[in-house]
Amino acid sequence: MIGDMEEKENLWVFVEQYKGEPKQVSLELIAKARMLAGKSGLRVCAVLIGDNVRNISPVLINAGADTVFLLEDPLLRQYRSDFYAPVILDLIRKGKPGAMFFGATPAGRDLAPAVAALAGTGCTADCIDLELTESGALLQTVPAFGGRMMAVIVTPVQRPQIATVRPGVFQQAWFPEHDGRVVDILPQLPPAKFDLIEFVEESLQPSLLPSARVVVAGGAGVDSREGWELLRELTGILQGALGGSRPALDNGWIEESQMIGHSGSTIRPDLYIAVGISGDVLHMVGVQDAKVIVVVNSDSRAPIFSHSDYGIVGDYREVIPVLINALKKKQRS
Amino acid sequence: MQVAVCVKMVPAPEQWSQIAFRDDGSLQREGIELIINPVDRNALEEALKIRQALGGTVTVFSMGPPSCLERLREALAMGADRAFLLSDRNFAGADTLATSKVLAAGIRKEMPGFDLVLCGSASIDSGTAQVGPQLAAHLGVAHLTDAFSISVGEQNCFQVRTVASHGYFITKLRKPALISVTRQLNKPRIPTLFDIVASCNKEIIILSSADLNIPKSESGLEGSPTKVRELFFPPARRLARILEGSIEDRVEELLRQPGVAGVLK
Ligand SMILES: Cc1cc2nc3c(=O)[nH]c(=O)nc-3n(C[C@H](O)[C@H](O)[C@H](O)COP(=O)(O)OP(=O)(O)OC[C@H]3O[C@@H](n4cnc5c(N)ncnc54)[C@H](O)[C@@H]3O)c2cc1C
Ligand SMILES: Nc1ncnc2c1ncn2[C@@H]1O[C@H](COP(=O)(O)O)[C@@H](O)[C@H]1O
Repeated sequence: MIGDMEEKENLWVFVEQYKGEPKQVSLELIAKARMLAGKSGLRVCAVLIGDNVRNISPVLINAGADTVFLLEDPLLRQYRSDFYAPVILDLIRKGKPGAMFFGATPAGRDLAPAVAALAGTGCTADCIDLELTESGALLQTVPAFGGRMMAVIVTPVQRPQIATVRPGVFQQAWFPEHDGRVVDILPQLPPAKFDLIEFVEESLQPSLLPSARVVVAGGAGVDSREGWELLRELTGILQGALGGSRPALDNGWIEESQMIGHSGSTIRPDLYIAVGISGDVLHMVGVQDAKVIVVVNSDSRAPIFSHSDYGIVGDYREVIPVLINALKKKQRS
Repeated sequence: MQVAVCVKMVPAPEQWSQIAFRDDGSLQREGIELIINPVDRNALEEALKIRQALGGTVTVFSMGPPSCLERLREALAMGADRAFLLSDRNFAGADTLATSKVLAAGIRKEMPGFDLVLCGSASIDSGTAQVGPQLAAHLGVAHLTDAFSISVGEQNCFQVRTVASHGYFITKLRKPALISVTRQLNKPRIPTLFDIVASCNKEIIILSSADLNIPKSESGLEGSPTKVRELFFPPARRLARILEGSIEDRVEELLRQPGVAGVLK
């Protein structure tokens, strides 16, 4: 069943699921793969692994998959590298995809490099853009060393070209008319290498950042409780979400889930207001898809001004109260 | 318990802005101070604790240029028994796959009977978090990533807690195995002056590609399936308009801009 597609270097997406729900990032990657496949005739194949997860297949097809490879076994209920990696390797050897994408979640970051090593191919971590050339070469853009530049990485010879992408980098899409099929595959499990004793669920407070229309963020320049109170008030008036840069996290002003950037959340709000943030690439890659970026920074030479739409050079302690008042006045009128 | 620890030397973040690009796109990092990748200290600390509890040895492996030697001393001062620097012109330009192959060759040659390999979860300069899982694949052992607690259980099994999306896993891991660790795992010790002096007797052995019997085609730039095709500065595609006037005027003007006014409705 897989064999009939061998002549095409199809695009595969590893689908991560939890309790019968696909992870959002997997749907985002399917949509991206669909876009990349375009009119090339390449197929988008979702690799769905789990126990009793068949009911996820239609969702994946609606999200843009042409084929769902369904691998079910009670032992595959939860992610574990000792089973998932060899099972995927087996599938890759049979189906010979041109590229395979994984979400950069804890599981995806554990799995993708292991699969790549077993397959003897390259793996590019945390891509912020993917492009496919006519010859099928995958151009994988990542923030380069130190984050001051971008690098385009290619895997010229080996296949598949494996890439991981953080949640929120690409946008999910819906193709209600799209047709696809489910191919059942009997997974051959190797002997277990470890025993999962327990999975302890900790419902982390889901961050509101990725879905917020307005995001206000503070950086190292906002260095007092009063300052953060001002930002909180502004966020409230705008009915937005509050985030920050890495120093804001390090200094204890925000929680881990509120950090924006390369090692935090990627967001795409309609309006992003950055206060006391200098504009390091490692921060800005997380907001590059914001529609409008507004900056308040006291240093007119701060690099962030050239990465924003509207800049106010000034001390946030003076600017933000004026902004809050103006907004309040607007709301009353 | 025979524990191997993989330690990467990375440019000190304070000096990143001084790193220049050569015309061919490679990095010019001469004169940049190297430090031990922070989380790799946690890996080493854990190895030292395991040795303290169960006996055995702790051996450090690092792949990098000769300038890493000095920092490897620091690993010995923290308490590692031996250190190997895997260093060869052929190893330069390695991606994670080529790096993990060299590390695997070093461990196989010098520590064939290892029980545990510890890595940091990710390095701060490339931060791919890939070398650990790839090294495990080459060594043919199980791996767990992002451990925040490790205890040695019965029959020399490890009980490991690792970070997951919706909580954490508790896993019983049989040796030999590889674990990558987070900074939450422990607090790395800081070597005293005495430790530093005492460590001068310990050996650092340099292994070349000939020592490890790795062909050029399997390591460094040549042995890397991924290649850097292009480096570029992210293009500016923003208006970059600085508003002028009194603060009140600037705020008013800001609120009139289409992209802003539309959102506030
Ligand atoms: C591996 C790695 C990953 C990283 N990932 C991320 C990430 O995901 N997200 C992230 O944000 N960072 C990340 N960083 C850190 C990143 O490199 C920068 O150091 C960080 O983004 C800088 O944060 P900042 O702009 O808040 O602080 P700074 O660079 O210190 O800037 C503070 C700004 O505040 C301004 N300011 C000061 N006082 C005032 C005032 N009164 N009013 C107005 N403005 C004022 C200053 O002019 C300055 O421009 C990462 C770093 C590494 C090494
Ligand atoms: N050149 C290297 N030498 C020794 N260990 C390394 C090297 N590169 C990576 N590692 C190990 O692999 C971990 C993850 O690195 P990375 O995949 O670069 O994020 C590091 O924390 C180290 O423990």
